[in-house]
Amino acid sequence: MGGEVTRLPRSASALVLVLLGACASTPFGQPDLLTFIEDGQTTREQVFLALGEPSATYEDGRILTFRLARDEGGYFLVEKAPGFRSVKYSLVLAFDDAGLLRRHSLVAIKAP
Amino acid sequence: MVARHALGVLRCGALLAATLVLAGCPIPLPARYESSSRENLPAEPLDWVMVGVTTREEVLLKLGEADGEAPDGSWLAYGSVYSKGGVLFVLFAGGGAAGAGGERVEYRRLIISIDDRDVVSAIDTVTRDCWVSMVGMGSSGAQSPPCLKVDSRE
Repeated sequence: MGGEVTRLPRSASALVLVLLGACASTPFGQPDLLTFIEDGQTTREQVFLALGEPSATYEDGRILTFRLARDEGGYFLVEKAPGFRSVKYSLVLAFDDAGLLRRHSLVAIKAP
Repeated sequence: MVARHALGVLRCGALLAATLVLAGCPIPLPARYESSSRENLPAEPLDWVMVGVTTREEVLLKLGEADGEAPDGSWLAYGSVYSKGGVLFVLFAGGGAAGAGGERVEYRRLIISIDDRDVVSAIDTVTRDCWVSMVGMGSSGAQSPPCLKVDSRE
């Protein structure tokens, strides 16, 4: 019969759905990764505890930078490597002598 | 003897390149930034950087992490590598492939010198346009070295 459609058993359909689901990428990003950062409030220690080792330091560690990218989940850290492959943002944190965050900026390294 | 051998290698290379150009499929290479390049270095002069006024902190807050820095902190290097497009000739044969081509690349480098007070003391911008040639066979390949190092003063 030309119009007959072969139906997959329910278990096979479920298997296909699971396999297709596995193809979908899980976001790395965390929506609250940077929400703790506040000028005049955040300390160097808090930054190291939350973000780990910076990608670069300047002026004897008074200024720190971190490499970031972003997906639908939020921002995530990118490991240091030569050049800026996969890096979308550079987070720059400038502290005062007491180790309190004075100014910060999230610089877009790549064009949107 | 060595010169004759070098000439032979050169002839073989030229023959391979000529074969690829004549028999290969041309693939246009679009204009784009190199994947490891930053894209936030404008072509026009940075009017917000003022010698004797702007600090290292302000430069970093505006441009982000530098591509390179002097070991003593006396300069920061920012650079970008932008391909203006080119062409690659690819030849498929016997389950393998070989290719040769070239693209026009613009290297841009900004060196910001910084004094002992962490204030900008000089700004030096260099832009260089050059042809980058590339050859490849199977999984190996090579390309001509960059005509300007963007992460250092060299």
